[in-house]
Amino acid sequence: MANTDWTDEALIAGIQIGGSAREEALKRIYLLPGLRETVIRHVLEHGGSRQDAQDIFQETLVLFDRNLREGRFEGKSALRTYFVAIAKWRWVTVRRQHGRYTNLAPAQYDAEVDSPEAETIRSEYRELFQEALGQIGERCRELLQLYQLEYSMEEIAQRMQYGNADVAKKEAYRCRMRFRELLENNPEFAVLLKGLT
Amino acid sequence: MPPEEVRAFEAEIAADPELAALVQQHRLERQGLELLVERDLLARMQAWDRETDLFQQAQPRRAVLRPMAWALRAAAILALAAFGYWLLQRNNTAVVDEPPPVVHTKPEIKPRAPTLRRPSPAPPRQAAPAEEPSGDMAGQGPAPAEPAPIEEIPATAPDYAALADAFFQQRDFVPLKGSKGGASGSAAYNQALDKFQDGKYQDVISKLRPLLSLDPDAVQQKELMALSLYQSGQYEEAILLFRDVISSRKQPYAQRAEWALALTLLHQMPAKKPLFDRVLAGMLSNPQHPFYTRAKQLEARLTGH
Repeated sequence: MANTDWTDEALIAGIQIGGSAREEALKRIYLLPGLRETVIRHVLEHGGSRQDAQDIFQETLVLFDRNLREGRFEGKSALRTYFVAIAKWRWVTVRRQHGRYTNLAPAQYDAEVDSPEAETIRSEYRELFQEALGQIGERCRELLQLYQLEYSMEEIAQRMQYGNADVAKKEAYRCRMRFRELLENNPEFAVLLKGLT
Repeated sequence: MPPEEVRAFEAEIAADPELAALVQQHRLERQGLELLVERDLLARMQAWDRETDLFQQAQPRRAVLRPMAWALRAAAILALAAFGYWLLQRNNTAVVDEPPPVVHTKPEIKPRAPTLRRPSPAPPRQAAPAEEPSGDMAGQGPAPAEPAPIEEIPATAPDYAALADAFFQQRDFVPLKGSKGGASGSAAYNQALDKFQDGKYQDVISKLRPLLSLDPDAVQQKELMALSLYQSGQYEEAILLFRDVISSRKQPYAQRAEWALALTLLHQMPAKKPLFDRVLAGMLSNPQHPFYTRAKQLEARLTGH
């Protein structure tokens, strides 16, 4: 992702730092000339519609962001290549989920991304998570989003207008416990969890 | 975590089913929380797309103007050539006794939108003496048989933005700071409302955007977000949100949003005139509408009646 100001290293650092640096880096990638077109062309050439392609492009950015934050990108390829590899892999997953399997040689996707099977398992939890998140309240959702993005407790306190980092920490703990409780009280979640362990 | 520690921890997990279950649960919780990040990012992507759409909407206009610029240049060159030709002709006719006959055609006014006219029309031009140097074509022949048409000057378009701002009253939408019956929403909404009342519109937008991505049906928050976008000049996004609020049909939000939408569109006149006309007409067709009188007043200001 050659850019006079935004090298691959700068983009990775921006995403990993978080906050406005992450947002700016992701925006750069999202609006990078030619990237969206590459993904759209691939999806269109492999049986997808323009809407499918747009969805895949957005989902790819979500996965790309997560992988980079979690340190799963090992720097074996350029970021653009990595992004397109995730998009290709994502499109295979979607086609599998819809019973439209396409062969994709392993060389076509990067080993650093999740397998389609792992993604399928992940998607089974989505509804359960949605339900629980819907019940924890707006303030907890906002706080847990910052927590998930690894904001420091000082930053969370500042953003959420808590007195200090200790209060933020207690609130974060309370919200996490509330979320956990809601999940645990859901019999479907218990079944899924049991199946995995 | 160094690779050795990772391996040691993984071995420990494999040996202890209880620990394995705990780790699995923690992982799943983190995955669940990732959903919050995902929703926020998707909302941001939509906002970036809207920004890009606005940018792209501006592009074709430039593309249309470019060939027009060439046409204008060509027209200017032709006009110069014609003027040069006329000057040459004029010098030649100075030595000829009889000027060539001038064909007079009835002046024709092309149909235009009503425009302002000068209060007192200029008197018809007198035929200038033949020897009097003049750049006026009338000087070359007898005076026209009919008076020159009254010159039209372009109408001065109303200052739509100023008009919209004059009609936009914050108290129509949210309670004024310190008034009775003030904040009545969730804690997050009340905080955002406080910021709105303090004029910190960007803070309101930053606060409400993630919340709206989680609960797109929160009409009260959506209204406040749209009002903040209006106040900070982000009219395109404000229009989208006001339209959402209208389509929710929840009162009094939907009717308030109609009025706010009209004022937002007024800011974007004349580009948004068709939609503005429809919104205003909709309000004027319902005398029970809480903003009916205001809509009438606005219509009167626009039509000058």
